[in-house]
Amino acid sequence: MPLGLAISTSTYAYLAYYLILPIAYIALLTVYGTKIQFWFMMSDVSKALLELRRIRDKSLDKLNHHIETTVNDPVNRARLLGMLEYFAVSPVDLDPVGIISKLKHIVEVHDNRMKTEIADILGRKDPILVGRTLGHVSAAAALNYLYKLVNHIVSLTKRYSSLALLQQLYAIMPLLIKQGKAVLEFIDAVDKGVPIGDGIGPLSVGLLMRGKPKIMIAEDTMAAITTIDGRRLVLIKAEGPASNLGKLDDAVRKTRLLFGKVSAIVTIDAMLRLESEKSGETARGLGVAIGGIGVERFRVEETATKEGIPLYAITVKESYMEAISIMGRKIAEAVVDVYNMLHRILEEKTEEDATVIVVGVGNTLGIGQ
Amino acid sequence: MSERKLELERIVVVEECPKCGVMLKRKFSEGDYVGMPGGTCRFCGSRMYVKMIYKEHG
Ligand SMILES: [Zn+2]
Repeated sequence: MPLGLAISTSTYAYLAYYLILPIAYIALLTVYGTKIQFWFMMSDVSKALLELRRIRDKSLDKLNHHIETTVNDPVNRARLLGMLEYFAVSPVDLDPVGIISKLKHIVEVHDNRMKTEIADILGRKDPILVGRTLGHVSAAAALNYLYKLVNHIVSLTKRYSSLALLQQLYAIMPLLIKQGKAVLEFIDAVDKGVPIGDGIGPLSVGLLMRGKPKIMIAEDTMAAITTIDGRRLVLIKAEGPASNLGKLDDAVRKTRLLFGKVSAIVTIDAMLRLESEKSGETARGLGVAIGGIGVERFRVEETATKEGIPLYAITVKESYMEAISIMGRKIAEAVVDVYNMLHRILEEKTEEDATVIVVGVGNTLGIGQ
Repeated sequence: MSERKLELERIVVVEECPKCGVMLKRKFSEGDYVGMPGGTCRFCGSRMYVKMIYKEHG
């Protein structure tokens, strides 16, 4: 009898192990599998959201510190903080004819308003201080918006328990944090007035401009003339060493009007590199190498097309992170390769005595001329 | 504050003599920018200029 009992117990155990448990397990996973996945992903995303908030808070701390050292009046301090919520509405694109000039107008009005407002708050028009403050405000505003947007999506994901939404957020979260950290580094660079990776274009052109007579050819944009390899070069870059991008399209148009026949336009800019490419590698190509929303590129292309001017581009490869943080050694030293390429373009593509426009594209923070 | 000082020490300024091409590295101090006049050249006595500013490791 004890023996029979033992047999029947082991039969139940057998059934439990090999039949009931697996079925229960599969049933559980089928019903709750997505729930479990949701919990795990949500805990990771929540941690990442906290990290984004920490990054945002750090930028606000830096902004507050900057405000304390530069603005005395509490009303003006509040005004500066209020600028974090400034925004610009992009024009209607249902009827895209003429949208470029509308876009240019809105961008210019927005930029001018920010700058005049900041100069007013500071009570000084010093472009370096205004640029530094603008850098602080726009970086903090960008991080603040990024945090609020991601927080919004996380809240929606929680409310509707939407795994599809969560999966997308989960996929891009590490990238967002990386970008946030890069913006923090940008604040550091702006604070110290040190060139950033994006400044390789203005650096290349600014060094050629040194010691030459200069004119302000467009708002925040300088031009100088030099002779290289027997060609007359009109050099254009944003006015440094304050944080500036310049109005490169206006400068090119004006140069064309001032100098008559132009044989080529060469743009020098930083370019986002692929993971397999090395920072500081240079490349030569055709077209206009100007980033941003495309207004300036469009207008330079338009000028060139109307006049039949060939467009050449020299780019220096770097990551997004490198582009907005303090310039690295490899990128700075790429300036030698940039000059070699410029010489080759001049020799191969232009005649002697030709007039060539060379534009250094990018933020000229910490780079004079 | 000391973190900031450390950060500054990572940043290098390269000055070049326009006449003899001698290059000199020094630490960055606030207010430096590319293109600004630097010290006098130890070899020919001409005025050097800031050619590059970058972070050493990066
Ligand atoms: Zn010398």
